[in-house]
Amino acid sequence: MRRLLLSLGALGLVACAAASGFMKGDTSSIISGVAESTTTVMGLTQDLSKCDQIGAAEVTFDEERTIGGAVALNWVQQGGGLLVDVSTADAAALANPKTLSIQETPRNQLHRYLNVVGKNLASRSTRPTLQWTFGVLDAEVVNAISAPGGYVFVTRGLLRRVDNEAALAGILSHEISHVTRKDAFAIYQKTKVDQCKSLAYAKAGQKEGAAVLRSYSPGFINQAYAALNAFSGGRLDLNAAANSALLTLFSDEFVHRYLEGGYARDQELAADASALELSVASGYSPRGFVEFVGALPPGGNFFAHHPPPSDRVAAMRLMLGKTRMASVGGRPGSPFSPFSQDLSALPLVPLHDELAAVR
Amino acid sequence: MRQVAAVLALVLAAGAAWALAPGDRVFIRGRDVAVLQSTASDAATLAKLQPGDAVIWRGADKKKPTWHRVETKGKAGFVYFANLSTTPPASELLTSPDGAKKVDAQAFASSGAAGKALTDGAIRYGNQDEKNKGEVHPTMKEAVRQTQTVEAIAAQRTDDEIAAQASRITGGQK
Repeated sequence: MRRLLLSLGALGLVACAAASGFMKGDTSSIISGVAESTTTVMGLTQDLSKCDQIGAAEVTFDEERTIGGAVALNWVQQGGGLLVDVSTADAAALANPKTLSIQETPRNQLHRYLNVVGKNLASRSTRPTLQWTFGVLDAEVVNAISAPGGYVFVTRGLLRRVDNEAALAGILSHEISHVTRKDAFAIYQKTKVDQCKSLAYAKAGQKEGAAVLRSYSPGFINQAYAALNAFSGGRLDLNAAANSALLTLFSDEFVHRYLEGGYARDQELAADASALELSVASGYSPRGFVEFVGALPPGGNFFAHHPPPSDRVAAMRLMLGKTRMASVGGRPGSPFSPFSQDLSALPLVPLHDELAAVR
Repeated sequence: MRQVAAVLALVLAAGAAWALAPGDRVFIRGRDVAVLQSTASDAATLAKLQPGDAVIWRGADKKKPTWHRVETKGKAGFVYFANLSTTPPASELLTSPDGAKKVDAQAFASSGAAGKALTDGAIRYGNQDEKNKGEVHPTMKEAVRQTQTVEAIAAQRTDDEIAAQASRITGGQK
């Protein structure tokens, strides 16, 4: 989906930016509206130092959930929206998910099923107590994507291609693994520092701030800089209203960078390995996920940025073979390794009827 | 392919050389995991445990080695091997008045932070005017409402539903 998201995202962002006046084009014409002539070299140095402090702080759960929510909204929008019948409740009711009234419709029942499957898997992960949310994007392309804090999305096109629950479990577990391993943090931490420094340079009228100047209005940049200026050390609270422009600055660029490059190849292969461990520990046959990945055509819109399906399958088969050999050979291993059982006896598990809503 | 081998080496190394002895503490994986009185298929349930709960490990049953003897809260019983882990769930870093503090999964679950849906910051991000101009559908505001609806569907799934799903996969074997 990343390629779909990339194409949709590029179109969407350009359209949105052009209409909203975010993209200004001629940086020289707006520097005067942003740069302060009184900005000194010392002032810029202090700002850059603040950016390093912001980047050096370990990401808290609160920050992860806030940035993850903003990123998730981008995936929802660029993925064509969620296949759900929305609640018409007011904002106060929407803020209480445990008590929000939900219509019993086929699309909402599909989400109920997906969340039961996903939350069962996540309960066995290394972050079992996150508020995991699993959603179906209304896109025909075959893909899955996650956001920090516990958001996992699959497309309608992917669900049409899945023919057993073991395959679905493997796909969800792969995305769960990206969240539990915090794979997005490397991109996010660098994004945060880079954007913060671009903002400082933009305010100082330096050419290194050109990207920020081109992408945002002077009013927005002034608002973001006010937040940076007010930062006095410690932790930056991106959930605070005063820092909303910084949240936008960081989230937008994170989305852009992720769509451009995705995760590293070794992160994707490690997520496949973790997906097998998690789905087998939950009782599913590993065959479902391996065969699903193996049936993906290389290239095209299928999991762009992932290693080729043939490499992924080879790595998973090698892992399954080695763990099985170690178990049969009596080599010391965890007594609780799910691979120590007879994997051929594990079921593929039929899909529930709720999936008919998307077929 | 070298990267594949490197990842595999990491994965395999992570599962190697365990030195677990009876009496050691191990941890529960999964929601509503049953501690059974015996390994019989109709055995009574002595307790139901949650992710990260610690139990004392006494070893695998000799006749049915996929079932392991454990002790918890003064009771001795059997747990299916795949519902146990040698490592506890990851700790979480929570914001505190002093800066930030790491808490274990159970403290995190009871902190209120774990139940957070879209934060105020994320909602403001999606609802800002600049994100809702143009002809993009759904709009960001619509994306906020859709996400909140799905979050509610997720949040309303009960432990019983999750446990029933686990049982459906295994045919009630664990």
